[in-house]
Amino acid sequence: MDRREFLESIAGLSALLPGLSLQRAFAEALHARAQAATSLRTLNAAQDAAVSCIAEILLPQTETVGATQVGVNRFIDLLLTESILEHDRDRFLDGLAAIDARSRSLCGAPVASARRQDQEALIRSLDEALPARSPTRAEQAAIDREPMTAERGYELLKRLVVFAYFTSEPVAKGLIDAPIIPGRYDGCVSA
Amino acid sequence: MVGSGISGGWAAKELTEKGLKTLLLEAGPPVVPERDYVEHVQDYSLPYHGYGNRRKLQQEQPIQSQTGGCDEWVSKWFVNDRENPYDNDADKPFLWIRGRHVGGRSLMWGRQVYRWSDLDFEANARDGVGVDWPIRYADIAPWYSHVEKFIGVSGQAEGLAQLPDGEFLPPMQLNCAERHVRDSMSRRWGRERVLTIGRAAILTQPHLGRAACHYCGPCWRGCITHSYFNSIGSTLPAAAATGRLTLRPNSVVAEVLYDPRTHRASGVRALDADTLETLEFRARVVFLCASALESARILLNSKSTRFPTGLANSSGELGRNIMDHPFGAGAEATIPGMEGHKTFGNRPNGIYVARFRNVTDRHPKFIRGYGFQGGGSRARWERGAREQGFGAAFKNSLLRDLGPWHVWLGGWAECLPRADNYCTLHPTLKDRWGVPALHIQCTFGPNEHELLKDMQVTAAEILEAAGARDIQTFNEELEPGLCIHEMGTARMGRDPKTSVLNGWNQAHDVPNVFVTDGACMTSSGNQNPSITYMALTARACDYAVEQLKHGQI
Repeated sequence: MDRREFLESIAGLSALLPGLSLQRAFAEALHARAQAATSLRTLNAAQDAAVSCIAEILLPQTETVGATQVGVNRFIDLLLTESILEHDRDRFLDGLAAIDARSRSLCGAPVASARRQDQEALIRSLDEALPARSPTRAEQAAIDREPMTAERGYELLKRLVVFAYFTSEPVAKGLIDAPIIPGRYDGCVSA
Repeated sequence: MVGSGISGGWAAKELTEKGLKTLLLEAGPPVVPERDYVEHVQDYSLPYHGYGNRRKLQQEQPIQSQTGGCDEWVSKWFVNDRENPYDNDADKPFLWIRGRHVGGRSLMWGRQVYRWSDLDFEANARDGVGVDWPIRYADIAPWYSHVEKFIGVSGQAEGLAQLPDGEFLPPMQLNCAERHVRDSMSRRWGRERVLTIGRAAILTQPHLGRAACHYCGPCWRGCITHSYFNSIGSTLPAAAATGRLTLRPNSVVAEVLYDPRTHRASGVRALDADTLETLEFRARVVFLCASALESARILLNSKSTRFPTGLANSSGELGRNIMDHPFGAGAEATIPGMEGHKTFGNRPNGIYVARFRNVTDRHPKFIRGYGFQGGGSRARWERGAREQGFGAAFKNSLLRDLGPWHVWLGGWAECLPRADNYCTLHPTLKDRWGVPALHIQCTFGPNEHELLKDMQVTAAEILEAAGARDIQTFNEELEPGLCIHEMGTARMGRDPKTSVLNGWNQAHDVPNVFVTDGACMTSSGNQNPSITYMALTARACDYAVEQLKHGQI
């Protein structure tokens, strides 16, 4: 996180916290980031920075919570540490490395440190390469044997970010209008 | 009685209500709804939000986890594959999906119930395949009604000869996209291709003390209001209410004991699942309802001088003729023009398109047919994993817009019985309790593959007729077993030389042994089979009790 990113990230907060010293807040934010990184069990600081950066570009904080606010990076780290098969975890991490390599090549820096407009250009190019449909099982098996690319890494990451965000309690409980016990079924009502 | 699943629950109910003192042996542990049902647990309350612990699944349930229902909520209701091994030739994979607990797979079943017709019961005789069924629709129709009245089936009467109507509770509603597809089909094909709401063992109104569905959605995780049918909420309580049922969980039946002096089964040998203590239980009549492959395994393991290859196997057909419905092929598409409408509630049911192939005409490439299941839906936020976009607009779209209407149609096809689809006892492999494991050999043949091809074409035709866009056909080439409709290992027939059971589910060779789970099936139909198992079970129980009364067994 650089100072510019930090200022951007608290742009909405400053009105709520008028007495906050920017210098002190910056120091605290850096400390919090360092602490969060050390509590992660699979992602290293650079990988976490890439995940958090892309997750927030995908699903940013607006009037509703953003990806990093609901801990998407921590949840992905949990899955990578405990759940996702080792082979798939390694491919995911290779994918992150491929994205960062692409970013260095195009933007001169890893994605988390690139300029905002460069980050968005990179994400746009990867996003436009998303396949139009899910692969069949045979196609998936073939894909899994191929070397990891930035496009494939982005596809895996986007899938996990969307899943992590929308299944998080603040979003699923607070933002999605879906009663647990609807009590009735209507097949066709006005949206 | 062996097994407490959908067939075993019915046998327990019928036998106890007809006055028999009944011991029900279940290999697995009890299930306590108040403790174990998790249908209202939300994603965020689970450690992995429903993603599951895939490493643990890979270690303990590599086979079970290939079915969608074995999820983070209820993988506990699927067996540990390490403790319950079987094998198959490497090039002939078979996926055996099992539940070992009180209630068996009736807890996680698909709840779809479709009667067979004489198109099905006459099929083998007509086509010269396998052996003829020893019964016809008229023999089973009253028992379908008997079962439907008890379990509660919501559905729409359609008057189709190939898919007889039943004793229906009010149907669930079709949604906007499904109504559109139904109407389009009606205009194009009239009564040849008919789309109806799924006929489901789910209550749309209170029924025999059970509450109507509250549309939370995931029935396969249990239902605290018992609104869908399973053994635990319906048949087992009815059996217990008679005071004549003894349910013994954790009792792994290894063999049926045979008395050569009486030429009858004398009971069963079992193992206590916890202590491995050997147990013997004596009975005047034995019902096997352990599931098609488990019941075959028990019989194959019941060897004696009289039956050296397994009890009731003088025909050599025991373990043969394994069938499972080919599925996982069809088409999907987007239906434009209804974005202003949505559904309310989570309907735990889909649509059904009754079989239309080889009903009145004869297809040049294959015999038998298939029915379509599927439905219309809107992808909501889930579409975000594959849809292009990022940033605030993307997020807000996933939060607020439901996405386009999507319709998915997949075929469930008939599988022909073949002697070279079989199971035998493995020479060395045993389960955790020391019972010999199965070697299973099962592949789909040319007829099944032709059906899978055709269902892609006709599904696309149906969607095209509905004005759908982005039509994509698919064939997932799923392995046999994954449909979890395995059946046929102790088939019914008229001739003891070519079948294991007679027309009453009674072993030709040992008249006090009945097998009423999927093992008994002589052909597979294309309909979901559970209601036929239940109806055959109730019918067999009625017969067995009459035979006992008259001293015939």
